[in-house]
Amino acid sequence: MRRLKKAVRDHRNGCFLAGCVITGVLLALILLGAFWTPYDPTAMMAGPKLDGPSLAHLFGTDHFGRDIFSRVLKGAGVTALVAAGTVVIGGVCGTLIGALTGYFGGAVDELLMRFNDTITAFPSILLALVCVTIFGSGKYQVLLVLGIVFIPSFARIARTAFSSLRDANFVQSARLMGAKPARILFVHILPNTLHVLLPAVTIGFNNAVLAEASMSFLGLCGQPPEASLGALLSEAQGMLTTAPWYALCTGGMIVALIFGVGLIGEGLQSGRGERNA
Amino acid sequence: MKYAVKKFLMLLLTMVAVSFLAFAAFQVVAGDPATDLLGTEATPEKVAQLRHEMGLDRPFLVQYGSWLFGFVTGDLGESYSGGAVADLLAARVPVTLMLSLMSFALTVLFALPLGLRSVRYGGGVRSAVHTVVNQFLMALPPFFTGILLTWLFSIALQWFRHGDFPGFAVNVGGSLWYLLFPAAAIAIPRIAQTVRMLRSTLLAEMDKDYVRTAIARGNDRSGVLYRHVLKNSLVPVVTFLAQTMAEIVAGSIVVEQVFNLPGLGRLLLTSIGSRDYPTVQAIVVILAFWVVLANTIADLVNRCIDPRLGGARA
Repeated sequence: MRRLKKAVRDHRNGCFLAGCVITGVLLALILLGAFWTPYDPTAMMAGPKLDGPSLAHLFGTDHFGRDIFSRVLKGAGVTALVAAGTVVIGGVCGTLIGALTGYFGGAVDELLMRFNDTITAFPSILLALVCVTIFGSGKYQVLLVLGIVFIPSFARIARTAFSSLRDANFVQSARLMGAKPARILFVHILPNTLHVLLPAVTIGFNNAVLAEASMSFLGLCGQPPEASLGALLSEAQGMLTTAPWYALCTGGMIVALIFGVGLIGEGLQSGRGERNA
Repeated sequence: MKYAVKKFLMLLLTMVAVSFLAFAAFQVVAGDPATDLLGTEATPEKVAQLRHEMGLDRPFLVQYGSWLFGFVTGDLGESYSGGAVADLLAARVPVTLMLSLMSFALTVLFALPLGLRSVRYGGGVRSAVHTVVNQFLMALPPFFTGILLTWLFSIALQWFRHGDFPGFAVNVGGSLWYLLFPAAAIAIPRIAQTVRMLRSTLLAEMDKDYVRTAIARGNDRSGVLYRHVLKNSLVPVVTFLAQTMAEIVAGSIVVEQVFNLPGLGRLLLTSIGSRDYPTVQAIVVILAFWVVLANTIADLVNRCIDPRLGGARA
């Protein structure tokens, strides 16, 4: 039985490694794409029209003769930026709110959690769609909207983690030694909640990629020159009969992004989960 | 029974809260529809008159009350594009409802047996393959799967004609057949997620003492799995399935666009595009009600599975 468990843990760590490799490669490509792409992503006639994948054009070309590889690199950059921004806004605000309400409790906690319950009745993409009508559509507006929409889910997770440690022995002894609440929260409790918060960040990132791609697929963010992966995929759907590789490569990029980070999350979750169980 | 009544009251309360939130939000978003409708050449008197006709000069709570009363009695207000919102929605609700029900059915139908099967291998290579395949399926966005399915089944195999949804009024069987493909696109990542969740719950339950005792007394593993472990792990799984309902609804908004389905999602997008707030508001509230209802049903089902839940959680 112990050997079995070890095997499970080892392959989970394999998950973590594989996820890091995939994400690392994608990140490198995206960073590269930010400064240099093989062709100008918007230049027409960079190659022959509707050319399948080849060495000159790794992902082929579309019906204007634009290089799809260059377009996908730029698009992945936009998607990754929005997703990362979303996780930063949602994660920081959510953790802060969850930490305070979980630690102090009381009426404010009760009220915020009821509000949270009500908000989660709306699917997050629905909220984001509606919010975009207020803020207008564009890369940074979508980033802000998604960040706000993602706060409740982070707050809930953080609240559970913080309130379960509120009366732990090490917290009480810190309190007895006269530590201020801010110190207790962020120096003592926060490091002990990371095993819950870090996987939540990876899940949040993936949900953000999905949400951003969905919204740009629906044409609600990103102006044509800086089209994100979703917008490219929606364009590719129109060329499904003439250039199927366009949809395949663009969608494949989204899948690879989510898959890589998902594997990291999987590895994180069980790697530490067992020790804390 | 008492529990059911209590849950029903909670459901009503949540629905009121949800609709109030939506109403208040759109009050802020929409600004002043009277000014918008009359355009730039409106005189203040004309605006005031129209505001009075539309009931916009009444107190906020009164406006909410009359809107809610209308909503309950089936009067969803007037669309800015002319015509009653209820008429616009009537033809589209069945499509979205059917689509999400079919995705949900597919999720349950595939996830339960697969999850139960996956418990048989506790570790080793098969478990590793399982985890990787599962993570990969979870990474498939419904709109991308939708495009792949279109390519495979519509363009290559010609099993259905993309963009040619017959509609329930014309051809029920054909409509259901068409809906099967978008439903599958939505369901695939949900199935993977549910399998993962079910597997970890079952594995945790398998580690408990009573399972060891049952096996030690000579029960076979699968008997213990179906008779004891499954029952004891169902509660969190049912809760999880109810939460996937929200994701299925979200997925259907996007997938309707991929498959050219005349559902609520398409209407929502066109209404957002034309800033037709009464329609947007009605759709948002209907979809949210649908999610809240799913959660309440899950609570009731859980109570049937585990009668202890009533006191502690209600």
